[in-house]
Amino acid sequence: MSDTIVKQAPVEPGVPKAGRSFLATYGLRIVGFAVLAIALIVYPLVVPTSRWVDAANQAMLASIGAIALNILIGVAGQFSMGSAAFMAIGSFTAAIVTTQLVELPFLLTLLLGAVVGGVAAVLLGFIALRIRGFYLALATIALHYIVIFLFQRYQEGTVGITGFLMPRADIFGITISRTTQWYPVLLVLLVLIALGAYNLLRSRTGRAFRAVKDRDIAAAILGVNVTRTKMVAFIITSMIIGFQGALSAYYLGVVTYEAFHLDVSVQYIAMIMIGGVASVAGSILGAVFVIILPFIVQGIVPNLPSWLPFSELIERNVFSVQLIIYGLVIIFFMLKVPRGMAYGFKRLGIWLKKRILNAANRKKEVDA
Amino acid sequence: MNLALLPDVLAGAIVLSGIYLLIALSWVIIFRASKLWNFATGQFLVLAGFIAATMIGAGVNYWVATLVVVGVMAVMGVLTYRFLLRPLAGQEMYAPFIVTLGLGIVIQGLIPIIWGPNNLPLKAPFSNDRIDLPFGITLTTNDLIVPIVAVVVYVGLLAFLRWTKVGGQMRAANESTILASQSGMNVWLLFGIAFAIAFAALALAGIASGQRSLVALSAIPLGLKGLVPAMLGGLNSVGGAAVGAVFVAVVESMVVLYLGADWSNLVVFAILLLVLALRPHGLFGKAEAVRV
Repeated sequence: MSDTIVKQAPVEPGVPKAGRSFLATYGLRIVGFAVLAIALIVYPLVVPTSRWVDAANQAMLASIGAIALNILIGVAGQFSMGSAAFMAIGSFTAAIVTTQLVELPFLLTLLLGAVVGGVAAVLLGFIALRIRGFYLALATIALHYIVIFLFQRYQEGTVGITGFLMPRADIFGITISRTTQWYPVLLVLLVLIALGAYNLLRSRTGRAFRAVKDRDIAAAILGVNVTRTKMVAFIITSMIIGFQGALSAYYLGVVTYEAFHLDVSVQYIAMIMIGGVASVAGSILGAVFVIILPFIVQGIVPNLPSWLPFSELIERNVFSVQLIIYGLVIIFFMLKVPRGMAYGFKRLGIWLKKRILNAANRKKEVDA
Repeated sequence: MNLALLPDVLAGAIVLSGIYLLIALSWVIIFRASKLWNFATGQFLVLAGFIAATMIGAGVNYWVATLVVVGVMAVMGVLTYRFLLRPLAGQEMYAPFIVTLGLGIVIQGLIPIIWGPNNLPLKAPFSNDRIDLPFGITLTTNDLIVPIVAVVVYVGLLAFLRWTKVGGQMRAANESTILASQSGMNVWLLFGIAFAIAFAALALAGIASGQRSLVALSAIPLGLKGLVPAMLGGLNSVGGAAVGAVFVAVVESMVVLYLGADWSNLVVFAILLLVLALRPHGLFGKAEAVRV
């Protein structure tokens, strides 16, 4: 009997099978989520310094942008290098509105960042979305330079190189300034956006995104409006990235065009490739990995034992060493794990579950 | 618009178009052969400059150093293709793009470790006396050598593709990779040759940009900017690269002189956006059927 169960079990862990208890189907997941939730709550209390809370905060901020980019690239198949530009649009919206016009409440400014990101997506989408395939990546690179140039001009004409200093964020009268205060705020926002993205991908719209990616002509024949779907994907993801931009403006406290180098867009692409294409969890994994990497390298390098070859050379060039590791990781994942960490973990989970079910069944047989 | 500045604009444009032509050729040769994109172009260009500057600084003859760097870069091109890009055959189209991005990041990290944080001078053995050209343009030999080398490479490449056996095979592989391989050509060898040629052109571009000012990491964006003349001329048109290079160089030089250096990125990438929106296959490129 055990063999037949194994043959049925592997795929679709989410669907309860006839004759299996609720716990057998969802048990592992519930335990997993519970452990994850506890770990996330305990994390800021147990880490030694606030530097690691800052790292987690930055990783959560990046996760929001990575989820959005992954929907656009991984699900809808629109290869964009526009992350940095849309983050800049969100950040500058927040900066310009709060410092030059009127001091809006924190949450309202975030929403405004999202709205302006969406409007920009509509305008730029008219140009960008006529361009197919890989040329879209080039078009978004061009748009990046144009957008950043405009912000550079504006910034130099108003506040100069120091950039815009953001006001403190506050939610219903509570000021958020310390990293430990930011942590729960960012965690809640990330969970909301991740759940939203997860549901979006299971909706009709999400299926249309996937259809447009895989076979756009076939999708059109089946009644999917291809141009409209691409536009919707572009607008939704740009809104999330604009939101993230406004949020990071508050978190960092200062907005300057120099923070939005094209390398930032590359970084976000690296996140989704390392984490897992078309996967919400993968986006978060990748974002955490890419953001935490420099923190880890900077933590390890000054403590290298001196007998290690090149240890002095490495210590003098921490930043370069970090770049090299980062580049090598990108190459390694594309060559060896092209579907990313999320897929690797999924395989591992299925394999573990198989082992557990097998063992349980064998025990049952022995008992009978 | 001050017309008195025009000779200076053109003088700058002549040198810049030489550099752009070499970089654009590198993009075109690779894309024509293999439909791949090398987004580590800028990093390899700077790397070539650093190697050349070190050799010349150590007393090696300029021309010998140039030849050695061209050879080294050609080998690097072949290795990059063989070990990083060929294994990706059949994967998503963006996979090679991301691998070359990663490679560029690695090189960007290696250069400061090997050469330190400072920029290097690259001394070419040419006089800095100005030579008078028509229309009131004056250029030093140091500057003039760049477009001359670029044109020699360009003409040589066209002749190579037109009249040699390997060149003919490369044209055939560009027309149809599958038919070419079916008729017994070693397509992978042809791709490797294309990478060698492209990286050799890149080495010359790196040396040229180094002797024009300094060898510096800040020249990396030049690689991406060199894609714009390639796109304008047509990514699969070697002939078009020269037209693209001259056009982009003239426009950029005019904008920089009349509006300021800040505007150079804006105008170059605005050209790219226009090309993509209006004529993605470029002025002289052939439109390709879109795979659905």
